[in-house]
Amino acid sequence: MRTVASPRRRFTMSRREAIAGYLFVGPALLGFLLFQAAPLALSLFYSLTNFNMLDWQWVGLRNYQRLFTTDDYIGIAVGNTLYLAVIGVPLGIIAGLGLAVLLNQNIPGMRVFRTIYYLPVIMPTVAATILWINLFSPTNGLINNLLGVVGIRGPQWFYDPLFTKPALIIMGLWGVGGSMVLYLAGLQGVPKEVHEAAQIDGAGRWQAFRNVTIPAISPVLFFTFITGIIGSLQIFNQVYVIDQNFAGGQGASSIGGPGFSTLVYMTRLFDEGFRQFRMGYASAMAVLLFVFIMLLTGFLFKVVGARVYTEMS
Amino acid sequence: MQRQHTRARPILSAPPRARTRRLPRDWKMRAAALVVICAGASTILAPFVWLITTSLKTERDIASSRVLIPNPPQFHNYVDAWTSAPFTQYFANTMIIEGGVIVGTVLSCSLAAYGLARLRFPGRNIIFVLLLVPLMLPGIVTTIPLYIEFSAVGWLNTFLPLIVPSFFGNAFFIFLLRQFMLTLPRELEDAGVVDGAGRLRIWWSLILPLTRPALAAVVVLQFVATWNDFFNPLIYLNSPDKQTLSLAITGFVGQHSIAWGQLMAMSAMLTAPPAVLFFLTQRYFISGIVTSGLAGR
Repeated sequence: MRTVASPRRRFTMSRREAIAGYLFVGPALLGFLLFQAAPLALSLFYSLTNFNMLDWQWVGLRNYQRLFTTDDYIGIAVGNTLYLAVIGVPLGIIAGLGLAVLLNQNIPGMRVFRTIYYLPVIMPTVAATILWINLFSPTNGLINNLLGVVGIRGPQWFYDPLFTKPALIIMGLWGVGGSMVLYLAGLQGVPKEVHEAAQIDGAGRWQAFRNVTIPAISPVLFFTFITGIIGSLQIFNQVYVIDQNFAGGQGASSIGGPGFSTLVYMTRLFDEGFRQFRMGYASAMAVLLFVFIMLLTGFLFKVVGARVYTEMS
Repeated sequence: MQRQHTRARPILSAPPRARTRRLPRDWKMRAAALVVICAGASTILAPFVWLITTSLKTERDIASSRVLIPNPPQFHNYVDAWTSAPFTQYFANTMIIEGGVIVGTVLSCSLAAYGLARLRFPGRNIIFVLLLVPLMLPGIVTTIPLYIEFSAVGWLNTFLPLIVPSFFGNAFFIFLLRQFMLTLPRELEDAGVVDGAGRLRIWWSLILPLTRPALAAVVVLQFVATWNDFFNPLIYLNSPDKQTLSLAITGFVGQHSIAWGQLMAMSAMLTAPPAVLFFLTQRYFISGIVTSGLAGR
């Protein structure tokens, strides 16, 4: 139906455009309602019940009560998770930034190096974890072999409660290339004039770095920091595979690793919800994580975000 | 005094004397930086080398930890690994899911992106913001209720929970495609409208072909994300014959009589497809993701 000259009362061009618009975004909008909004609300609902896939009862805040008081393992899980986040993320940032600064010097073959450092990022986490389990093998892994060469007897790594989390962090640092390329881009976006101005003003190398470079890339730093923290709070794949390795393979549903040293929030949640089928409790854990992340993000935006330069003035 | 901002590359038309390279003033620093970079790169590469060499060793070599380079290389480890379990089935499972997910994602996201980029309707901006909200949610807060709902309709232990949601949009890709479509010239569409083509026809015949670079990015990213997905297959696929590759490989972890050569071979094979895709497209990706500007496509 052509409506070029005279707009009719019902089917004007803009009306038809609007209808088309709704139809085009329809699936996505429906998806938002079905797979995001509704489940979010339902999570809250289930967290107030003791649903176990068969029947349910309203229990009010009892799940949250248990979370905060009587659950013995939650403290361990939260502690381990925070350990990984608080130590792993800053280390990753320092390493990534340091490498980016080093690589930012017009060195021949920079693109090759950049690709090399980025390689671990493309490896599936499950495959990477299996590789590192072997690398950290106490008896015939590469790490302990190398330590042996310099006369150190390597620890049991993924079998020793004291070394499981450091091993996880080392494994995480292997993927430093992911953030490094972001910092590289940020550094290369800093106009030369800024550095030249600092040089003219007589700033030393470190001063220039601290007072010029870092503020210049603060948006990237802020981004990797936030996403790093949020990501490490939800770590699952690597820990699950490591726990499986320790517990003896498929069928063994134990989580937590040696001495519960690798019990993290998400594996605990997984166990509660999908092994013990305490869906109500698991939902409470999920809601709590969600609220925590929202609050943390809001807090970080307010406190740190104010110091992030969004424009160079 | 010379500023060394550029590489000391000889200029062809310069007189011979100017071709001698003068060391930059801070060459010591640069050399040190290069050493550190190379050391770091070796550290990054070492695990990959270990992966390949271990996958080609005999079990005795692996246990003895004295042998660095396997001789002769046990290529049969790869065959043995593949045949030790129905990996062809697992591969097929993974590819079925991939196929469904990619089709669903491309369709739903490009439709929504076009609607958001070009069509005007009341509430468009609100809807756009709403569709971006999932980017901020931790996935787990929607997973449990979804699992319960899928259970209620009897979809547990099928591929459906893994495929169907992708037909209903994905926040990140909708955003990506919309930004790209905003840069497309309007003249073609206007011509199409004047010619009486319906919006769907315009979308299919005009917009989609022009959006190919961004669509390629979506396909690759979604392929890799689905290939690496472990959690969703873990909770939804219970029968052994429905497992995906990453799920199946994890099943071999921790067993007492573990054949590390084969396990390494499996890990290498699991890494190959995403790695190949990455190398084929990396020129577009590292710069694309990094500058996060589709204008720089």
